[in-house]
Amino acid sequence: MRYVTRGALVAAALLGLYGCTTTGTVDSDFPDPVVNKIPLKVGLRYSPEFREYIYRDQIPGEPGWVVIMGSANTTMFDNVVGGMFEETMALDGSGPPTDNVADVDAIIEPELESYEFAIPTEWGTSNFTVWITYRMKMYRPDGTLIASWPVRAYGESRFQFFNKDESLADATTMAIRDAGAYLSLYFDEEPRIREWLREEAAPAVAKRRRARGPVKRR
Amino acid sequence: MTRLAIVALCALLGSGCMTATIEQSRHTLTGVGDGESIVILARSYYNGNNTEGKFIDCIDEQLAKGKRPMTVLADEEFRDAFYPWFEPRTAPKTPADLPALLAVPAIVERINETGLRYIVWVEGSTEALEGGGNISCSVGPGGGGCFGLMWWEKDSDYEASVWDLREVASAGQVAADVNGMSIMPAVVIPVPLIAPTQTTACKRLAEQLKLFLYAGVG
Repeated sequence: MRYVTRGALVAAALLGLYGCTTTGTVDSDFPDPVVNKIPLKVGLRYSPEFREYIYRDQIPGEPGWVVIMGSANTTMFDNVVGGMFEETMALDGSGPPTDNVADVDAIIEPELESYEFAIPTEWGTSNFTVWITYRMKMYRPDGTLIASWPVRAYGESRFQFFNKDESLADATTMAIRDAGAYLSLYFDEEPRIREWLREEAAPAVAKRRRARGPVKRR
Repeated sequence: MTRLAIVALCALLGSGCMTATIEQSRHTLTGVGDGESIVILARSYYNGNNTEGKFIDCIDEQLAKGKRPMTVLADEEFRDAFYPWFEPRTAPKTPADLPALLAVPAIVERINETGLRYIVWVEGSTEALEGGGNISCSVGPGGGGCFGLMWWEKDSDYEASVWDLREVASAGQVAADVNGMSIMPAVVIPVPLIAPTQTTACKRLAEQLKLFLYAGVG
């Protein structure tokens, strides 16, 4: 009887500890951007770490936090990059391409450089706050780097005491949307990208425009 | 002494006491035609605004019912349909930003599809102000209970700025400021009497918005 009681107490303590970890799964529902498409074809690739990204924070003696966001990240970039360019193609692998990738004008690979958040009690606010930094890398088809630049995103969501996981997931969703918004509106303002579009990519852009034909004016 | 008198009066009346101030300023003529719709959006948290999501939902609901119900686009669906142009970072800050937005053909197409005529930006929030009083609770062999009185003041201060997409200009502002005293007398059991300042501000603001939009026809 003593062993059953002890076992029950240990199980209850373990359950209690587990229950102290807040786990938020970020929604993977992101809209396509309403922007003018760049007449190019790009390949899009993700590393396995990016696809399956999970943030974990566990300090002994304090409640833990887990944020599952790999799927949300890939969905956002699929939709945003798909909306920014005339054509996109999913590519395997990660890192600079070692073999020439045929049939694309460039290759884009995002990485998640950092994820941080603040809980309302830390800052004396009523919101969860999330900061995400993505590292965007763009390569030529032969694997040489065109540009590498950070995209810093910010999101907030109102704190709900009995739904902390949802609040944190919502704030993360807002930050991911923020990154997509910044990328889709300011992509061609990145200096190296602007230069590339104006010079190297110009022939490919012109070719696609000729293939499309003249735009009918009403 | 005056504050204590108000608290005592509220206790006698059995409900929270509130005062409401509604203001309006008009810049252009308005009017809502058949097939025209509006959207209510909270100002961006990038500007430090912290309007509650449930307040926006309340305004939507109030405008969509009653005499002369309006066609109100849900804010989340609107942001998705017009992504990335109305995210907290990218949303237009003043009517002077509208021409750049309306220069995007896909945006104009979406506006025509939805019949969108007015964008209403809401800023402000409900805050708890000062409070006082004391309630003491005790439990003994014969039973338990609480005795005392607590009170606190709440202020719901909101302003709605109306942008007319047809005139590409600000149509005006409508503001509602509701101040209320909530009390909690305790005679054995504490009985909270909450002043519904946020709900009242929502209803009064929505009423005034309807008048503003429908009544301002030349």
